[in-house]
Amino acid sequence: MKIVEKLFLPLLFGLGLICVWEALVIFYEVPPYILPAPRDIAVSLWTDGPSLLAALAITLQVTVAALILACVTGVGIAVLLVQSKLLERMLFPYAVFLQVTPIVTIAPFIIIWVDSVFVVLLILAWMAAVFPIISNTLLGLKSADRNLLDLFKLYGASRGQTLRRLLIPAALPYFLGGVRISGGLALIGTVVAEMVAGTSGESSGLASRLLEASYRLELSRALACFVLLSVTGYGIYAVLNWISHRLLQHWHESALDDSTSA
Amino acid sequence: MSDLSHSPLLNLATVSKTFSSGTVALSPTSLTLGDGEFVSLVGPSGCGKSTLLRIVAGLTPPSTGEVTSASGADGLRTGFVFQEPTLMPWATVSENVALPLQLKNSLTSQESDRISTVLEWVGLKDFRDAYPRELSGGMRMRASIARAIVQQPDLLLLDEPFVALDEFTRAQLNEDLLRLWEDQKWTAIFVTHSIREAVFLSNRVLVMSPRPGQVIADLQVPFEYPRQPELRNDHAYADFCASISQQLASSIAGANS
Repeated sequence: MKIVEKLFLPLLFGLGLICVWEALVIFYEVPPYILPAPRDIAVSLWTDGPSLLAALAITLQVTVAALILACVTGVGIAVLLVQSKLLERMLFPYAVFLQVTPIVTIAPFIIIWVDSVFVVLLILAWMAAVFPIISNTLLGLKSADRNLLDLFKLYGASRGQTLRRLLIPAALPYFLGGVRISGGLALIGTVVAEMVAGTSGESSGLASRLLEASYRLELSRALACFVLLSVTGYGIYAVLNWISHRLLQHWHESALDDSTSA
Repeated sequence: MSDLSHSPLLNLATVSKTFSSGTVALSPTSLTLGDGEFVSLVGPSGCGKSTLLRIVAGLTPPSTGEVTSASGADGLRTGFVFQEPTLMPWATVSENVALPLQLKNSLTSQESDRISTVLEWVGLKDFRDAYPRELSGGMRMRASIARAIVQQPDLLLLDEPFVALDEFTRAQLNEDLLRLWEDQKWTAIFVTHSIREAVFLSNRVLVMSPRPGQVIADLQVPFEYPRQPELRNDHAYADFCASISQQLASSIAGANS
């Protein structure tokens, strides 16, 4: 019953939407350069599949690299900021700048300063992804149980021990919440960066291919790219969600199964 | 005033605490605690019982006075049991109990055996790999006690540890705690609201006045160890509790007038 509701209902809704779309395109005889029918998109997905997947692999490489970099640097920055209130007051506003500045406005400078296209994309995607990890991890590091902190003090724990054994585990659920947000942002950042950087040719990612196809009014191919990117975004979320659940399932409220609760 | 059969372990000389807000939590208090004593602190909410405990633990610095121990500067191994079990939810029962030992160094096989022994004492032998949320409130408190006694403390501080438990569990844990103390003879300071609990457990009861807190009575409890659950139905026990209750009531009335 549960699996039917979780899987079948959304699929049914999507299928219905596609049928209505197909019917409308046929009924009103919409030309494919305005709105292609779902069938055309499916054909494009099939025939252009290999080349689109190769482009997706390039986009995905940047996305995953940016997300990993964001995790490492985000946690590093949060751990640094939690060391002293003064440091946090001094540096946190700049983390906020990183978040609120549209990466499109920074992209031109990065493109001038950095040669490698991969590194340009990586920097921009990282900028889009890192803030939720910094702010969530910082919140988590500060949310450790006061009594447990007292206990660590009582037993003469060093700063390193307190960090490793208490603060970091306590921050893990918050960090993972941040990563789930950042996963989507890393993909969005990569896509925007590809479009701004105007990469083309063999080594171009899926967003460049989407732009290229739309310039040529090959809307079915452009939409095929769009479909692949959306599915990828959803896939990233699902994978991160699964990892988060696996890491927390023994102890955190957010990952409670009915079967294991006391 | 402490029992002559106990050599002194801990001395508090005119210890007081005033918070930065100006609130006086504890009036100057002087006490001597004998080695192996089970001392309860009873008093109304906000009388500074917990503050006193935190000062003894070294978690809160006193505003005046000082705490000295018989064995020198910080020679006392101290265990602390909080009002909540305060377990690390991401660690299993045995990992939680191992914490005080692991913070000193990595575990020796002798210490691993010690953890098993302690878990057996508190009745959690079969739950060593369980996570805290899989346990009942009473079992979590047992794990918390196991953690506090695993490093063979000189001094065990308990801050209203059984307040959140139902009456049966509470009585059972009182008896088990007493059993452990009779066996191990660490010195215990037990903070509670419950006069009956204090008398049942301790050889000495300190009664505190309402804020700003002060020790107004220091009483030896006239019942022999080992104590049996039947003590709770004893007339002398009830009378003794009633007399403490009266002293407390008159001090509260005095504070309010």
